[in-house]
Amino acid sequence: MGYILAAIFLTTTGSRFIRGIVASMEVGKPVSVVHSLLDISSSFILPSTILVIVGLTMRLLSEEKKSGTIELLMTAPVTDAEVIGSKFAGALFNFTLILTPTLLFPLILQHYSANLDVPQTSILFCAYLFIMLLASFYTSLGLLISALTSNQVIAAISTLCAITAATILPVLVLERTQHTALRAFTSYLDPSLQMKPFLNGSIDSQPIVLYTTLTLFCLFVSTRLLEMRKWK
Amino acid sequence: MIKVAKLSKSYGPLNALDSLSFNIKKGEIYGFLGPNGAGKTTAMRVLSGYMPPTSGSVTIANLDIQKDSMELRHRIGYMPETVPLYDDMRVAEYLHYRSQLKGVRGRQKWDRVGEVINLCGLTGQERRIIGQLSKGNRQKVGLADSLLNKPDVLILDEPTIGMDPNQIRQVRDLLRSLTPKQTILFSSHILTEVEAICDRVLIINNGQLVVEDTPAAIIDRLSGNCTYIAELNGPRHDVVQHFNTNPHIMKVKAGDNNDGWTRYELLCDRKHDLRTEVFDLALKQDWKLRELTSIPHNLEEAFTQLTNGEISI
Repeated sequence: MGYILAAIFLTTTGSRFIRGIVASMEVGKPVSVVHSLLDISSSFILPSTILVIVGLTMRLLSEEKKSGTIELLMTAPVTDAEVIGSKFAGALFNFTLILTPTLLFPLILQHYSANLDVPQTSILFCAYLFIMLLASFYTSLGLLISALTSNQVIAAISTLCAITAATILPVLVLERTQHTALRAFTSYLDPSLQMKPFLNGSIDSQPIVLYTTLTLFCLFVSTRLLEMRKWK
Repeated sequence: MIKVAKLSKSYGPLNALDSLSFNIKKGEIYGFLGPNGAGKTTAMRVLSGYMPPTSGSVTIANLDIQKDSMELRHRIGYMPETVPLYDDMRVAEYLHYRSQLKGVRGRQKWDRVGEVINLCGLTGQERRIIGQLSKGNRQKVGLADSLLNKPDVLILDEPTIGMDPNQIRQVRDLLRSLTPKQTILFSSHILTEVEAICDRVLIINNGQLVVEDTPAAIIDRLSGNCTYIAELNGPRHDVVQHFNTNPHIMKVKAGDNNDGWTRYELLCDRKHDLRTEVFDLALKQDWKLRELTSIPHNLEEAFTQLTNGEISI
């Protein structure tokens, strides 16, 4: 499953990268190919990320419940929080492994072409930091939903809906409302707006606090859901 | 070693366990019996620390199952019913993973995984994918897993289910070899096996304790009567009449007559040995006798009578 997800992710991001190079050659002037690839508002990286995370998280706890292995897991000398933490770390680590090859794109550009615009290291670092923050939140949300059901298909569909809603709803609200306070609030939740400072090479504490808080909240709820067997 | 006091567990309105109390001494093999739905699995889940009791207490080696849960998990080996495993892992890979989870790491882990593979008869199966194993071998992997951390207490929920007779014998020998270092609590529906290896047996029904004693004592306490089989060649009517005049014989059942030989089942007071009397009678009446034996009562009979409510203690 992991290999399939990696293949889909790298194919979509790789094809976007190649199309960017071709477009810049047609234009005949430097184009920030990597920059536009990492911008979640204009590339396939966001849907690819969502797809990969849905695939990585759907079985995390639902399959353990379905197969009964949760019983062996929870009688081993590990706490519920450790189980949740490890599941989250494992899924995020897998996502990082899948994301890592995209670091080759700027290296390839730097090595083979002076005509194309390669972003500074600081911009790359900030863009990847934001993607990882977003991925952390999505992973914790997927884990939470996986803790709610023992059916991985239901977990996958629910996670896809939840992440899509969390990503698209702020955009839709921003498009349709003129209410100042509501716009301010939803812009705080819109990932593409939150990413903008990161794409300029500066780290904004606002999304860091937001996504870290949301991630910790989801992990906390997941732990409580795992503990529910004790209340039944 | 294990003290269970007034243990109750409810799932909503359903009382799976109702004030269950028993003690298990160190080094004992303790059989946990009951019909399906009696509460065995629930009791084992509570004892393993998987779920807390609704009320009552469980202490293992003077540690409370709820307060000292983490410490106890290091000292318990648990094998659930129809052992759940990760089907896409290989046997050795799975056991290494479980070792690490149980805190057995480094060189110790490699040694211990090798040991349990040998102990459980999994040699040659290490590289096989668990999903492709037979049911018996899956059970062995589960058993190997429960032994990884050298637990003081082993809790095994139907460990021999799905095993062939050779594998059952292997497991029986293994369990015997583990005592007296380890205390074993195990459930099984194969009552001859329980009778053969358990020091003591507990039978529960509807979540309540029915009886707790040694297998021999349970059988002894239950069966006040004994059945004798005598196969005689003599006039059927005379034979039955003679048996009916014996005050110790409560019931005579004559079987089919095959080539002049008739099989008689004689229900008699357990304290009275009927065999010499039957032999003397046959000699005196000039009947031919080719079989004379007593049928011992077994745990299966006791289990059936107790759980069907035919007998109460």
